[in-house]
Amino acid sequence: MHKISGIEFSLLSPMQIKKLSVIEITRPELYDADGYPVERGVVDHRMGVVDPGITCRTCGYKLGDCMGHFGHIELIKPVVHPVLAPKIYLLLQAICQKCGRVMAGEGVTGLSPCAKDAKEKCPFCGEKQKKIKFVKPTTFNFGRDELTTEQVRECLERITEEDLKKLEFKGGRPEWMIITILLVPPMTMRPSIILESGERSEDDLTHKLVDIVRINERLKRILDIGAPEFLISDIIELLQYHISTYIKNDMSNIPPARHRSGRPLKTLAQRMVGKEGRFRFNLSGKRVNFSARSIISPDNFLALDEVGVPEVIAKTITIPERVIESNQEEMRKLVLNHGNFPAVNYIVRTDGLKKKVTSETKEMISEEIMPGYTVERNLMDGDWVIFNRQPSLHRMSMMAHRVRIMDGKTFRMHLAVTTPYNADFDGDEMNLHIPQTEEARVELKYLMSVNQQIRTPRYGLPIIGAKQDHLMGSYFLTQDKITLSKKEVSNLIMCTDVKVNLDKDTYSGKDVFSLILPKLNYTSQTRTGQEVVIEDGLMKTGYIDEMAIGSEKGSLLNKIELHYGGDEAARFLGNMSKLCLNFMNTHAYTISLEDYYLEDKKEIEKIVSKEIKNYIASPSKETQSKLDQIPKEIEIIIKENLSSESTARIAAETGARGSMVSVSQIIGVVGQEKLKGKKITRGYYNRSLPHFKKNDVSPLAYGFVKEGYMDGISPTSFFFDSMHGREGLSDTALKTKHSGYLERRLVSCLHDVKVAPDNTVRNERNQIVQFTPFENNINPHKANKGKIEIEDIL
Amino acid sequence: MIGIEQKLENYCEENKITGAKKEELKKKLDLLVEKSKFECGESLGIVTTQSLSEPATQMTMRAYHFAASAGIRMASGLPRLIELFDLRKEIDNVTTIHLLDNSKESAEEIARNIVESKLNDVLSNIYYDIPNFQVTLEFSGLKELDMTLENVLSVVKKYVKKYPSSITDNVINLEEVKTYSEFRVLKQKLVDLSIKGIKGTKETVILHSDGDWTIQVKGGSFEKFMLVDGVDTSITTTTDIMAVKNVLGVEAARNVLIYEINKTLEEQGVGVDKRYIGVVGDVMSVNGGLEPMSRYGLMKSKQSVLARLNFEETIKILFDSAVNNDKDHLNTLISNLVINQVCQTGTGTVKLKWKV
Repeated sequence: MHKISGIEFSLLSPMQIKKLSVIEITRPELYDADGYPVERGVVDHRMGVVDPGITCRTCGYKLGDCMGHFGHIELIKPVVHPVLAPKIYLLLQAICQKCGRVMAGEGVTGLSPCAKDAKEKCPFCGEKQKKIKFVKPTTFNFGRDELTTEQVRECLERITEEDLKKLEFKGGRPEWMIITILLVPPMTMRPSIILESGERSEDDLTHKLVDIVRINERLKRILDIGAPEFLISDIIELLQYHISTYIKNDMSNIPPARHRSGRPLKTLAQRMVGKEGRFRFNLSGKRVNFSARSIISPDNFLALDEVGVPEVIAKTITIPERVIESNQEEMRKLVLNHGNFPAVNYIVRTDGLKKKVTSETKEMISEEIMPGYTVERNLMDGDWVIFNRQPSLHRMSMMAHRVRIMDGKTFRMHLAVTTPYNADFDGDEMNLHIPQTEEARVELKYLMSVNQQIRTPRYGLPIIGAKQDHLMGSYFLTQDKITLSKKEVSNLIMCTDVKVNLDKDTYSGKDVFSLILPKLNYTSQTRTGQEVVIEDGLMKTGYIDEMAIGSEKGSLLNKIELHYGGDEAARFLGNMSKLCLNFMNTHAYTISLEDYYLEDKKEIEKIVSKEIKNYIASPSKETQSKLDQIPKEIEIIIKENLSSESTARIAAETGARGSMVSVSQIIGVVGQEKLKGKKITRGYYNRSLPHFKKNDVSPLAYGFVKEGYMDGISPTSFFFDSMHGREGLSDTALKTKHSGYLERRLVSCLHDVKVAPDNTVRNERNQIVQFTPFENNINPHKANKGKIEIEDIL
Repeated sequence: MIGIEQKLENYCEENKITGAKKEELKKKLDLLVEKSKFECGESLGIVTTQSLSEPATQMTMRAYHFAASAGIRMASGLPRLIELFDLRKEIDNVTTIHLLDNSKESAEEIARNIVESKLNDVLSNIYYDIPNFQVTLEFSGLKELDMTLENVLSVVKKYVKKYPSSITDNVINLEEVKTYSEFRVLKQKLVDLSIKGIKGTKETVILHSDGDWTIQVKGGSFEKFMLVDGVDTSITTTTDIMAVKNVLGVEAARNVLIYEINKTLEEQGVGVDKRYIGVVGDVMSVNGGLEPMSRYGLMKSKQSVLARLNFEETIKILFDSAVNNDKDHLNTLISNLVINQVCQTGTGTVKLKWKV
């Protein structure tokens, strides 16, 4: 295969168009009475075929192999290219109307500078210049006279090669911007479709081309019979209109050409632009084979970097495997296994011929295969695949997993790996891509695998970590009061891959957790400030919570990843999740109303009523800020008084779920409801709701909710609460749009910035952006918080 | 900033580590530094984009917040981030003025002097004496502004040259105003006339923190603030990046840009390594000026035609490229993607010697 090293853009000359073309189109009819394409018509078979079974009259190939051929239309009168008309205007301004020299002074170069620097009198021939007017979209006036397109072309023809250099006009001769020969695209570019009724429906471009040919032929006839001038100019204008709309159908000064049904036609320019255009939709957006999509569900017994794949998918998707001497026998067995699960769907012979394995041919094929053959076998356990969830916002949205073939029809994944994908199991679907070359498989294993992606390049901490029940489990397990018998410990530990001799009769919870820890020293604090000490892989004090192993935070996990690498961190996460969830099976918890019960709420009520009263008495900045402080004060009161056994509290404080703010909103007060970051003031004249008196200064009239969710909130409060909730919803809907466009722009501007072989950061033009990548050449994807500290090497 | 090698030396000295143990630590450090380096071919630009825009999806849309307990409203969150990448010229930029003479009095004085006062603020009455073609301006509250009638007259004279003006009995008279419609035009002009302070300066708030007196100003011109006596020009900053570029140059503008982006992200509590913002700053200033991340800025200066075609204004770029005979050398990700070739990045930069 040849490699394309560059693409050059320039104008097409009429000569080139003739060379490209295989046929001149002269007939406006499409099909004859028999339904066969008219000779030299717009759908002539010499321009390629779009129907099965018919051969192309130019290359002799059939549908699929014939890529189509260009035709051309010889226009009787030249026509201005509608998109290039402004450029023609600039050129006309720049040149002398008589001798065609560029009038701009010495040293002036470029199209628009030259046009601006044009003189009233030509410095070469002394001709006084008439005023040029550009009448949009395609006509030019010299003084009062309207120029014919031929005259415009003559003007452009006069420009010398030398002057073109001065004008920096490099794409060809300027007169090529006037269309004399129109290129007709191949049929493959504008296929006609046969409707159910047997009728043919032509492409928009074909419709437009028919119009052009028809008008062109009429113009030819009318010129031959010597019709009056006004009639001719009308037809020329019509030809210009059809060609203009054929190229671009949404210009501001031209009414768009419409289909019979009234729908504007989608012509050449519209095909390319925008999100659904050729560039963004077809050229940058690739469709792939060897992919699968299904609903995801969790499976705690998978390793972190495994993905459970349904057998149905594994049977359909294949992996090409080269037959060599050492795997020849294995491959034969796979071929013979046809009809059962790991089998072979196709084989590819050394000469490239592909054969399907069927129950009849399996014996023959298994005999036939030998080294050099390629076997396309089913997906099997241990194969590396790419797992992806959209929107793919960062590179951890596509990670490599190892396949585990499973029953059922969903993709199964480990719970901890939901964070980087931002997935949940409420019906989310994910995609699977299966690499087809050995290189790809190696890259997957060593660069893309989950274990390599635990540390995010964004801030250099593990993004994968324990979630929800893991944290509840680790909290309960590592409590001081937990003691477990030898039997209980064996039951807990058996699902992990830890091999240990249990020689004691009783174990504390911390001992059990220590079993899955690698050897390391660790001192840190829990979220509530309690000290956690691990010495030489043995847990001494404290409990394990979000700050130790949680996703996006876990400092213990961070340490394991740093010292023992991603594989060990993944192993720890797997063991931890199995241990903690297994423990929760025997030490279950619930959340009930009791967990939100405070014996004495008088203090809270007192604070709230006092501050509200104070504010009403004198509404000022001070009383307002006191009012704003209420939720914080109440949170402190609740923290002091709420039982430490409250599971709601435990969930919030270990980081498993929820927050103390929500707890205090449920027990205490909801607080100020805000709209656009301010109190709710709009609504009715001088009041927010008709339930209040006009100019009511009470905070309750402006969205302050003095009740908690547990006790129930008043109808007006409920309304304010809903307003706030609705704002949040519309906010997220709007946000995705804006941040999506921001991302698109950033990618477009930054995609070419990369680390060059000489260790500088360079862009597409090889300009140096940074002399040292990232200021100090430390990749946050590999270093703790993007920094190297002494502690990291101790 | 001390290098990590120096840190290790200090650490060894403190803990009296010498000999073989020290050498071992040194070796470990070298290994870690080597391991943490960027590999060549790493698509730093793409990782930067992802690191910035992935948290952007979590940011709030709330457009404003109140800067540092003062009453000045500032854009924040996602809208502010977009503003920064666009280098959009905002009217309500906030300038933080530091003072040479760090005292409350000078802060108050400067604040008083820079706030824009319009003639309307001190005008108590304006009337038109039709028979004499004369306009009379009456004032009140001039003292509060520290101005005299003469001061006002000199400003008025500068802007309304057409009519002879003079002071008589505490009023300013403008003569030869021939018609009533002329008077109406003149009145509008006079009311809007800026008589004191720096044009566009809307609000000032004096802040006191850590013993520093600063003035936060909304609106106005950074260039003019820098020229005010008593302003410490070495540390006075603004949120208007283009103004910084014009007054202090690209380097300063780059730093302010990075600072502002960082501030916006930190306010939202999203963790992004600071050096990613540095990459953005470096890319935006690579051509010697500051270019916004839009079709008018960085995209315009891209060489690759296919990359530009893929972004915005496809048709315009396509025809311009044809006329200019542009060439795409296929060294960007997008252009290679479009023509279905291996992108020259990451593992695509190297070839396998031995084909499997």
